[in-house]
Amino acid sequence: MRPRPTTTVPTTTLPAGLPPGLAVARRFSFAPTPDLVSGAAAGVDAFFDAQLDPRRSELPATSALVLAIDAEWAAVATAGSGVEPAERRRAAAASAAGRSLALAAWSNLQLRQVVADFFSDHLHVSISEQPSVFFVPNYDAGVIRSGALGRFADLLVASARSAAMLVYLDNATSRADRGRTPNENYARELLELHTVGVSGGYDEADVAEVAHLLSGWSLDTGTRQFTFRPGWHDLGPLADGGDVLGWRPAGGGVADGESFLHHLARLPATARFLCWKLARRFVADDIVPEDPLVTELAATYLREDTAVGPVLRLAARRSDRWRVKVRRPLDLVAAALRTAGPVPTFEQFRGALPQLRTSLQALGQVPWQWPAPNGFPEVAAAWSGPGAMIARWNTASAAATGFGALPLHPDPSPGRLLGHEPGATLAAAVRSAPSATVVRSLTFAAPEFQVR
Amino acid sequence: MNAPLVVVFLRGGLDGLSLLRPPGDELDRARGDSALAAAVALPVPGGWSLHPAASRLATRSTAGHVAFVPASGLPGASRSHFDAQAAVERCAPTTESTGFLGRALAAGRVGSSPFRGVAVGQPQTPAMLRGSTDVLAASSLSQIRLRPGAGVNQASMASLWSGDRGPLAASATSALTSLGRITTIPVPPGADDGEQLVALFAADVGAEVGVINIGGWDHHDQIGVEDGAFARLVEQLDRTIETLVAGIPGVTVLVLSEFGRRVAPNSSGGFDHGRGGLAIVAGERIRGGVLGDWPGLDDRVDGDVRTVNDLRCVVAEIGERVLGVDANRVAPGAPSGRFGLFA
Repeated sequence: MRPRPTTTVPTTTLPAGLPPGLAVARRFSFAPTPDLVSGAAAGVDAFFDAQLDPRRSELPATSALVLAIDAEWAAVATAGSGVEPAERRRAAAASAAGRSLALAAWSNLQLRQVVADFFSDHLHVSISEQPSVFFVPNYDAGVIRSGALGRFADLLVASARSAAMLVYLDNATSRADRGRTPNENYARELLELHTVGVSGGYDEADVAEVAHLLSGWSLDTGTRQFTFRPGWHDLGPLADGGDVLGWRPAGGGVADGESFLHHLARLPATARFLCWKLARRFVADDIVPEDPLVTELAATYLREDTAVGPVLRLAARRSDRWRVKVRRPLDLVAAALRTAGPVPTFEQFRGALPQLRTSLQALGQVPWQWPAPNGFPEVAAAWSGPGAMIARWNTASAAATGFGALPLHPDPSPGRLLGHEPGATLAAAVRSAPSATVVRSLTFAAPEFQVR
Repeated sequence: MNAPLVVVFLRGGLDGLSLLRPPGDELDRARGDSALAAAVALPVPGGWSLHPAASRLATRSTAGHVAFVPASGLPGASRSHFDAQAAVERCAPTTESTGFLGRALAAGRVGSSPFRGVAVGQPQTPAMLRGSTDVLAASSLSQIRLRPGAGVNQASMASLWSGDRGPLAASATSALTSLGRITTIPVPPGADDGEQLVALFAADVGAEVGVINIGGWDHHDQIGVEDGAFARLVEQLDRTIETLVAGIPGVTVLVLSEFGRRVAPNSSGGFDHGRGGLAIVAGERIRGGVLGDWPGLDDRVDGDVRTVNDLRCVVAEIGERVLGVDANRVAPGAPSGRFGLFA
């Protein structure tokens, strides 16, 4: 792996004197609310044990909100030809983005949501394209969020079999029978983006072999569920006894493809590539793939049979390597929602959507809307600049009023919104603020709210 | 700095062969039913012909103000979107982290303005602008305003951010400068990306370079050359180029993509990632025609059009002739040959 260009934005050390529980809670959630901070005060393991506990349940109000978001889309999806195509597209996109935002803001399972946010980029499917947009709400719920804290090998197979990915990267129509040339789109991104990475040691012949290997991985035209079409499948060059990235076909048919995906997930190149990306998200923007910490994370990943939780736990213990991360737009909006008020009802949430959409569009991160399969950019350089800054300030104004419709806590103090006491400049500005709304907007617009 | 420049980047990999048809019947032999048909294509000088949805570009081409460089790309080009986009936007060795426009702006700096290099369409700064502090990216220029709200205004933000040394400090300073000057740019409501750049260059804010992205060119599946997805995008591209050339006096418009596509179709009725692509340069000063060499479609490399025309020479010539910057800054390592893009 060769080093990537590092960000041009200087990294900054963390503010001194933050309680250790706060630092962990802030880095592994969308906002360090008091419950998370007190949970993390007992240490990294206490925080992770609580977040990874399978008995940990969602807040009833949050479950109700997400159920209502899902139900609204389900009603449109099942209404068939009675709904205009443009309205169907809009409803699917709104559902995918809405459930992502609601869970980021108000889920009790914050670790799951921040890791799901990571995988929504790593295994990205865009709502800017159709027909893939129609499958993203289910993909968000049934593949990304449910699989975020499990084994990456299982998540990879689930995404490969999902209608969203099969349609987005065109494998659904790829056939290699009778000398046809299979569609390379998914095969290439599977290697380049999802597993070994672009410098992971594959060549163009490997891409063609993987495309053959996965030919016939398709969708049932009626149920729109995964189906394997043996008549479209042809192993191509691999049938003559060769290998691809150290793997050889064995059983034939669909089992070959699944076996290859499991092989890919466990390759050292995949371990390094995935753990490097996780480290950029949770440790520091400027970490390079060759960093010894990435080596350590990758060893854990392989030893734990591709389980993501232990990798994150190790990253959390290495706070000596953490550098300030600029909040990406979803992070920023979710933090403002999470700290400003209680979980809204569906009606309140729907009332806030126009302003939320305006903010997220201007900031450039409507969930699932990035137009390419590499997902939203990670590092601060992508989210900086004068245009981005103005969008952050306007978002602060809108968030201070609950985006026009959301309930707000009566206490707007910066300490509550930030999770720690404000710096001297913000503290002085807030002292002369004439209203709770102004206190909130100044806090949300301040330098210390832009980072985690 | 000389005349204005606008770069239109076609994200996803333009299938140049479906936009600009080579002379003769070699495209039909290579692509069969998937080929852009000679019967519908619009003639341009030299026996080549253009997609029918690019009718305004065809008209300008006939008048002699559009240069096409087919079979163009970078040496050692990747079939990865992201590596290939990064390489084109860098137009320099991989050790360089800046973009060709960012370096040009830095080299030609006489005064500072956040509007020297502007990208509209999304708030992320395109990689080609990296290396200059005088750049701004926004989903729309109409977003470069503080909405009326409680407490957030230029004075309060200047005060709140004055002592900050964090990762967004420079962004905040530049944002405050932008806000002070944006009122002089009258952006029509509902203006598309091209129309916004027309408004930008018409205002006295020191604009030199504009960037627009048009996405969606990754046609692996059902490309729809004449009546589908591809045709709709060509229409959008044609409209954008026309808006820019007609609306910005003296502008040069450079249209780039990360790579061309495979010559032969795949089993989904689309074309997979290839190499040898198509660059387009339009403007009053341009010497029209299809420039550079054409290797033909029988001599393929790995199923792709052979890349015989070095894209760095296109960028270098534009750097020299439009931006007035030394080729070594804009496209270091570019061969010394030039296509003669300018009349």
